[in-house]
Amino acid sequence: MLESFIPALYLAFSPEVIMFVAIGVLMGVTLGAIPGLSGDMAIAILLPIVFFLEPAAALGLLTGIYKGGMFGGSISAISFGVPGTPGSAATAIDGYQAKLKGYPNKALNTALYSSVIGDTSSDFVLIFLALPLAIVALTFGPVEFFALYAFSLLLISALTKGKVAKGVAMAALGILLAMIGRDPIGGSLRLTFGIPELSGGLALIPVLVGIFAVSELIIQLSKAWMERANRIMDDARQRAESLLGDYDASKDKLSFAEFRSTMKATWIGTTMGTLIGALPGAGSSLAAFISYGLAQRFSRNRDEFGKGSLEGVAAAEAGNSATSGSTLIPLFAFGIPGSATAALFGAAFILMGMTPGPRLIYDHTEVIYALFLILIYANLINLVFSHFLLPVYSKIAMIQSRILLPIVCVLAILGTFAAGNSVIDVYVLLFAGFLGVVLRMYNFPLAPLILGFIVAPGAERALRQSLLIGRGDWMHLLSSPIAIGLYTVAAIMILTFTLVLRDKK
Amino acid sequence: MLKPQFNKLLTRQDFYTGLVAMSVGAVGLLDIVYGNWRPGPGLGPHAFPQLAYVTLICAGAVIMIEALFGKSDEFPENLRAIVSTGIGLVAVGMGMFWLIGKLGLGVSVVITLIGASFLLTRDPLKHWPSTIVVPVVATAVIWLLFVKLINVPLPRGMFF
Repeated sequence: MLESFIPALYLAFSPEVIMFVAIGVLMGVTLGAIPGLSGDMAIAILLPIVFFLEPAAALGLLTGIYKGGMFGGSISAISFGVPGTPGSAATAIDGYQAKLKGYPNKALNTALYSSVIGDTSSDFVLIFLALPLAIVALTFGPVEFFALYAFSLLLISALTKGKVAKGVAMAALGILLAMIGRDPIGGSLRLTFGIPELSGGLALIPVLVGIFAVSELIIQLSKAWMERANRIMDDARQRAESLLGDYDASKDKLSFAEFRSTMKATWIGTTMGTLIGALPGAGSSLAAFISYGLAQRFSRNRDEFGKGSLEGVAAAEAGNSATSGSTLIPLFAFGIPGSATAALFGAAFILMGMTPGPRLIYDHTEVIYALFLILIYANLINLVFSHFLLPVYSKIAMIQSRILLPIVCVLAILGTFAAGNSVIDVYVLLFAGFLGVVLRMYNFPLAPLILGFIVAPGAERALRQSLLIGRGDWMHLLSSPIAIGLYTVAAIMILTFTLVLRDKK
Repeated sequence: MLKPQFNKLLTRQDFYTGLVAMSVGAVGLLDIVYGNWRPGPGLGPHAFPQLAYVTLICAGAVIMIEALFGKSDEFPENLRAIVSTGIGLVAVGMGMFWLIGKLGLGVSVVITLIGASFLLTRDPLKHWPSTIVVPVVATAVIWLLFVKLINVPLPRGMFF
């Protein structure tokens, strides 16, 4: 393994890869800062394009967007009280109050430093945990893998937005969408509705981009059409400008003592974010709010929370960003994406001919080691760029999304066609986008649908192989201690989180 | 006691979402029983979809039961506007793709982007930098990216 490290170093630090990471960070911060757009949306739109890049450069671009988008969301949260991404909603509580009290720069810098600390720590956890877990996963047979798929589906269904039944329904729908096409074992056609073009099944890119990006674009476009989003930003801008009247920039610099005073909150956020990020479906928003609540409980200045506390900003932002590395652990170790972002990274791997799972690190050691290095130095690039460009970024957050939305739509359509060179993919993209809109409107979580769609072929293969080995006896699925352990842990976690979330309500 | 509860149920959104989920599952199961499914090795190709349909019915039933006890999401706001935008985007997307085959990438994309910007902007001529200049520049960048840089085989039209 160590002999792969030197080539990985060359790969990660090649000028081309560094350039793509830097472009990605700038794009991520820009899109994350504009309410209505997000880093995830940018990753989804650019997925077809990574097909045409070298793996390290493509992963560098996506990593840069991801890191930049994580921090970018906090810029509009602090500057206007409008979270750029769902994960930065907790940052807005104290961040915007800090802005109203006349120290936006301190709040933005606190968010930046805590975000980078949380993100980097989480990346190290990913690097040191992924390999041992992958070694364990290599010993798994079909019974254990089916248990693992069921574990992930149950957990993501239960934890996403806390709506278990709707999550389970979405996972089932995702599985059904994945069943369209040929049966992987017998070869017979399923659920094609007599359309011969569907015999190859639904491609991953149009389904992912449609469900995640196009559906969000449609909702944002309709808001722009109703001029609601513009009015929110106009109001926020007017309030921001009126507040700048007696603003003294010289008094708004984060001192080292202030930075040090936020460290406890930052580490609480980092720990909680890393732990919660590793759970399928829990998400950055939940991590940020739990971190914020815990930091408040353990703070000496708990009364300051909600009134512009820098500790509140640090805890929320560290909690949000610390999910970024750990959310990739299930993908690297078991091939199961535990979040929307992980699903997008998984799709990128598949597009580049790399199958996510325990063999990924062994079969593509150099590229994966290069990605680990990129994950770390992308944080540094984010830190340096954001430190110097914060004033510019705050202005970027004022760009009205209606200018960019049509361009992003066109990119989604052309990119999807480019990836598969198929008109059917474009139709699937638009249909998936429309389906995503309807599901969002009726509060169905989308992450279980995507996870169901991605893991269904593997889960079906594992189930059918298990039952073939067990000669049709369903009890064979409980023949392994690991499988029993996974089912038990899933049940305990679902119960615990359901009770915790019910108490929070 | 149950009658007012049931009347309230009919006003709750999740009663209908649960019903739709159960209906989709039931239709799927009927298709497996009476449809043209071929047998296959082991459990056969219908086993996993069958499992998904049963799960969908159970989830739908739970959603409906929860709605009976008052746990239901609100009816969506602006549903008509958002669904109309969705239908509009699907139509524009398909139209743009058809137009690319007739007129070429550059002309089709610039027409689509300028059209969308005019629709989304109040007094679009007054804001001409964002409604005309940005779409033209964006089209140039998209054309360079797809045609020159990554050389994507897009349908060819009359112009570039």
